[in-house]
Amino acid sequence: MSFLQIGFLGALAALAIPIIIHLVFRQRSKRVDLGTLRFLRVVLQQNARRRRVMRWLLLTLRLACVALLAVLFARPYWLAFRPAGEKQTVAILIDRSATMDVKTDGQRLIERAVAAAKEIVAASGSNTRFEVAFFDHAVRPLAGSYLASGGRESPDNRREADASRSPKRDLSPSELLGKLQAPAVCAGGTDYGAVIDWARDVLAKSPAGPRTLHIFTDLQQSGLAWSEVDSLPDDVVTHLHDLGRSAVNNIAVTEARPERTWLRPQEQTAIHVTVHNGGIFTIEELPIQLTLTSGGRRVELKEQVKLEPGTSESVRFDLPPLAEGAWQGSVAVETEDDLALDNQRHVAFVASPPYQVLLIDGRSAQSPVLAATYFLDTSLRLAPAGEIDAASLFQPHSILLENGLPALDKFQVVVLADVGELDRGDAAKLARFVDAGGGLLVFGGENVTGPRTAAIAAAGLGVGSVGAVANATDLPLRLGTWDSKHPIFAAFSDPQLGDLARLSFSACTQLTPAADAQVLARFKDGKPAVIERRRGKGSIVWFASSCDRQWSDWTRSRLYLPLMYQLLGHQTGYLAGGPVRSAVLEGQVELPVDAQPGVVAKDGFSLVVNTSPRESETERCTSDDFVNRFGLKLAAAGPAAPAPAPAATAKASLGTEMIDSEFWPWIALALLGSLLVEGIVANRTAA
Amino acid sequence: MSFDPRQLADPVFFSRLDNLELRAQGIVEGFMHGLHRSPFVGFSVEFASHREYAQGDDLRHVNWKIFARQNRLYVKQFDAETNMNLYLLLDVSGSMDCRSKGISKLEYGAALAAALGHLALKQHDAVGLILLADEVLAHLPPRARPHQLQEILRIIHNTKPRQTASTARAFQQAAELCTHRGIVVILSDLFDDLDALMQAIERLRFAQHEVVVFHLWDPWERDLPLEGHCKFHDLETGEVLVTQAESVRAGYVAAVEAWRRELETHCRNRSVDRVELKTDDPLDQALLDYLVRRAKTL
Repeated sequence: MSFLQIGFLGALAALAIPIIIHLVFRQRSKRVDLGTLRFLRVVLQQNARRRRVMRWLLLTLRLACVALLAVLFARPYWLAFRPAGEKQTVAILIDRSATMDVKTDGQRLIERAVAAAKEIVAASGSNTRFEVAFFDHAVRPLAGSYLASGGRESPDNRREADASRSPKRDLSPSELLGKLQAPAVCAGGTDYGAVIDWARDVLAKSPAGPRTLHIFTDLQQSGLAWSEVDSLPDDVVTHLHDLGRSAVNNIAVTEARPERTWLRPQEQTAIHVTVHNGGIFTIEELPIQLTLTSGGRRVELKEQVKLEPGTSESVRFDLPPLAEGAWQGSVAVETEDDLALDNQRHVAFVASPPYQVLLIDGRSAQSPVLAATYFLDTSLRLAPAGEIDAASLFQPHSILLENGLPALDKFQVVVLADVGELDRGDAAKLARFVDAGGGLLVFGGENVTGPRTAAIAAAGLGVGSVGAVANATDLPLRLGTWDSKHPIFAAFSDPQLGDLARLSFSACTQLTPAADAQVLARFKDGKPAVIERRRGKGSIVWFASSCDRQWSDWTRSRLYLPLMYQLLGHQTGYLAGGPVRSAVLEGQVELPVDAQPGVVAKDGFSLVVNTSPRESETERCTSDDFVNRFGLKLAAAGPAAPAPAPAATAKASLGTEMIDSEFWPWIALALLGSLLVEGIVANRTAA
Repeated sequence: MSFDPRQLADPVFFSRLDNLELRAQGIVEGFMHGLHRSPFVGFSVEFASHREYAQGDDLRHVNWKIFARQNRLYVKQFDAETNMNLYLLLDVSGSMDCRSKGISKLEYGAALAAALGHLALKQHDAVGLILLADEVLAHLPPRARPHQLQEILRIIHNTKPRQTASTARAFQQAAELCTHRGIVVILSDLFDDLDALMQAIERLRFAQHEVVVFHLWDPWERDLPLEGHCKFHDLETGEVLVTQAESVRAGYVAAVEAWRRELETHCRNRSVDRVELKTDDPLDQALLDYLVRRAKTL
């Protein structure tokens, strides 16, 4: 048995505590005078022996509890069984970043790396244990995927990473050779820090014995500076296999940036393109082609630039007015170079009207100014009645509740303003709308009470129970707290940008949040002010006060318009990135590990994925730079250090993860059991 | 004894006893007329029976109507009502000094003795007092004189608890001192050998005394309502036992209960009334309860 946190064994000194308690309690007693002790004597004679045994048992249990606690924190683990001699651990790290697609002698670098790794595995003895991982911006062990600490994990990544941490058996050499195959496409960025961290962990937890690290890479300099790492255990001998070419002829599109990704139909925009010559020759006329398609429509534009070695040039593509639709395509350079993957970058646009917002007024007013939706409608249009500002993100359509709901297909958000008695059919239609990904925003008012909103609640459009209208008494209602990390309120995290606590309301609708609802803001008296609940693919947000001047004068506040835009921006998905979002395959990115460059259609938006522009920088570092950066001990530097004692092995690890042979859960279980028994025995034992 | 039982002769307390009658359960001897029936059938107020005339009988008691009808001489017999002797046997052994609620068993017993003495004297009964520990420490023969109560209280006041090995011998001596039939009231915790104690009581019963035992308890002694680590001192022997109170409470209460049942059995077999009193029971209320119960049984 060895320990990951041997320092915690010092806590064994705490064994003195129960002993002291034992002694102190034995001494302290109060005097009681009794007429006779004859009855006590009878009792004590009966259970004297039992009591003596129980007291020793109690002391033993208390000592065991403290000892188990100390051992628990020390995180003991069993060393792997070794049939004969010492077991050797070999970690193999294979770079699968985009630059490993470069060919040498007709063979991709990644294929050469895999072939060399296979030779190492095949030549190994029977007493060798392997840890093999491919890496680019993420670490991909053969049994699964592992993302380096510090990186953000997408849900997919997290699942795979969890799988990789779960106990797994060692692969036999033949199984390993079967699984060790070069990936068909290499597209990721390079992050050496993440994989060195991973190697440090697996080697620190490996059984005692010689430990060797093989790194197959092209020593791309841009991969060095991603993250800080701790050094490897002292006894790890590193073999650095430099597969890179001394000079790479690479022409790359390092940037293709649309001025706007969301246009109005027939609106013009431009794309700024940057190309880079990583080769050693000047290119006089480099053709650059932009291709965009939308349905059956196609736009093609061409430009030419002259590129000196090691320089970049920018090109602007002015697009013609684009018809309504989702446009996607790429900017590509027509050239023959060593790295084809970065010869194009993907772009996407959406040419569409603003978000369509349906405002439903639950109050029939004599004048438009008195309508519940008047101020909201005006704030969204940013223009006089009947017009809409070109910069507005939202196009409101106001209707009266009594006229019934229109078809909701073209709307992204529906706003209920002081709507009480909604028709059951309309409520069901709204529920289907939300399930399909639409946003529902509900404002309070005199009509919004529990009995009147029964149909809304029955359709599952509520966020909890609705009570009566609560009127402010001597002081107006003000927002007290709000979730400044939520997208709606993130813009107001700094009071300098707008202090929501200044808004005042004379009344509010009393809401009691459901179990699956989240209270985003509360009034100062604790009543919920803004509540959100997810339903299907959509979201439902209730605002407890009105959106007009019925209960507040906040429509005249300078906070009214920003808060409304935040509410509707959240419900439309605009705050999450809008209809077109982009990502780059490098370090901290929420993408599946198998993501490839291209345009991916997601729920309600398009995701444009491109390779990291750093991968186009094919400059290499020297072996010394690499070794010094990560504190490696190369095999050529001297004979391998003798295998340290298990305790030293444990000390080298920071131990942030559970390893296969750890058995602390059993100790925790034993500790709980001991505490339980101690409690029972203590209650039944006379001191 | 720092506690002065004379302060217990509280007029308010005793005024509550004025409406009750202390009646002996049997026939007691007496020299003075009172409310208690005499064992000597005599010539008094209440008719008892007839017997044949004998020479020397007072002719005033001859039933002339019977003589007229049957031509035989009979004299009428009457129950003479007289006073009783009340013997108060107060245990002053060391165990009676136990106090957990501010008043010891001895103080409680002294108060009871004073109350009973006062009540009896108001009925012109003779009241005597015997203080006992390992032997009889003080003896005041029964008298019905007006200052008898003050004398009783003075004797109690001058007495201190005394460590005692056994009170059985003292009870035997006390039984010898109760020469005339009457009511013997024992005020004690009875923490002694039961067999020896019962021999003394049997002797009292043999002398045809009505025996009433006021069995005194301290609340801690009976229920052990304590928590934590305790060092228990025996007030009689000075013995010390250390233990965790809550862990032995159940066994302790069971042992006490067994002893109480045994004591109750002994008392019932000997027609002895046993009244259990705790020192936190209201003193006057406890006495009243007893007297009411006695009145109902007569």
